[in-house]
Amino acid sequence: MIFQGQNNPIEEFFTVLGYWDRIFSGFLATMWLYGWALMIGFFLGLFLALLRQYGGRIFSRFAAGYIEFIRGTPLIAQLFFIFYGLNIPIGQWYILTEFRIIDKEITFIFLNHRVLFGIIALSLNSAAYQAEYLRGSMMSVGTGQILAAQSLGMSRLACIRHVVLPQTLRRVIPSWSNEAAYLPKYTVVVSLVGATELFAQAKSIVSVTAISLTTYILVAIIFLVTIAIISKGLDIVHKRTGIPGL
Amino acid sequence: MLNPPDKGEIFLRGENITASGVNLNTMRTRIGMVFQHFNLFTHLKAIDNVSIGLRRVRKIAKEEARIRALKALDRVRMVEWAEHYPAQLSGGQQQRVGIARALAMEPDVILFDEPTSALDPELIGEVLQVMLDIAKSGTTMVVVTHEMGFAKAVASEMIFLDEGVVIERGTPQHFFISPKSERVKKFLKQLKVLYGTHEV
Repeated sequence: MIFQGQNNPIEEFFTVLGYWDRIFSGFLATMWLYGWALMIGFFLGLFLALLRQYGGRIFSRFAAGYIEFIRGTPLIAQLFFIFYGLNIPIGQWYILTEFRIIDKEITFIFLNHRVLFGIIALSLNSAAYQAEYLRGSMMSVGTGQILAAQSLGMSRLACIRHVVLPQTLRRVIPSWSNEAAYLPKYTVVVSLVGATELFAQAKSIVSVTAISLTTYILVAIIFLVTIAIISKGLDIVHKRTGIPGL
Repeated sequence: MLNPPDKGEIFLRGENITASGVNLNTMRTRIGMVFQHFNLFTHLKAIDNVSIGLRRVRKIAKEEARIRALKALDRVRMVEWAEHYPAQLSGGQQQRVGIARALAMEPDVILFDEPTSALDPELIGEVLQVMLDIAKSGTTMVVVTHEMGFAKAVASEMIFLDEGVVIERGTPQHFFISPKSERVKKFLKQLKVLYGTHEV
């Protein structure tokens, strides 16, 4: 029997916890989206930053234009454009796996058209921001060192590989951690095209139990703890790779 | 070209390096350079700073490159500091590593762009001493400097430039004792005002 209007927070909390399988499934989906978007965004962003900094006139303008466009339009709009606007006839299919934990059946969707477009939109978006973080770090490597590399006979490519990039990648960690901390929260928009990530699962729990405050607070706490762990992890990486004077 | 010329030609051992079709990167390996602000690679230890040119440009194997780098560091008396990073070295030490980096490539000529101008007076001596040793060992060096005493003691030939034009050239004796142009005489007078005599 459900006591409508009974606001016992402890009871509510345990009711919500009863749906832990949905929460866990949603959390996995969120992390999956996040991980892929961050990684693809990084490599694409690095490519864009190099293009912007070292490309010829045409390429660097192209990269700059792309970055400006992505940064100037809302992520939701970009996602909807890719998902609904482009209308790519990819059909409804899925690749998933199911496993049991204790007594609950948990489905983890590796890929379906919602997840795919979600990852694409998030990656393209994240790449633009990461490109700017990386470019800022690149520029902080003084031109003097580049002159020195040239004076040794290093080609442009060798100079980027051996002088600029090692320093850039170490220096970018503090600003990059900004993106790493933001992105999990941005993955929520993919729920708007039907992917069953953490926020969508939260909504489904609310629709069943009518306990909204506790559910959303729980989700917020999950985000908070996850992002705190990620930030701390990056902090440790930054310290470990520290070089005096860099 | 690090600094593209407006016109003219540059010959290195009889080869015109300003001709078209010349592989600049290959040419650059034969010309070493030491910078006013050192320009060491901050993410590399001293030994790696010196060996990176050998490994990545000359494509010499790691062990061999390390041996040559240690030899170069030995010539500048920085072997004990091989595993230190540039940020852990003083200005004079950094400049000596910079010199070792140029030496390791065994170039035909080494260019020095005001190598001691960014150093505080107590550190200038150690760098000049290293440059003196290198000069004695027969390496060709082109040095831009304001250290008149050093120039007088070490130079085989001195060139005075004003506004991009060569005003006078000659041996140090000629330069300091019997210069021809008025511009150089004015310069020497200024030195006398600053240092009491141009025999610094």
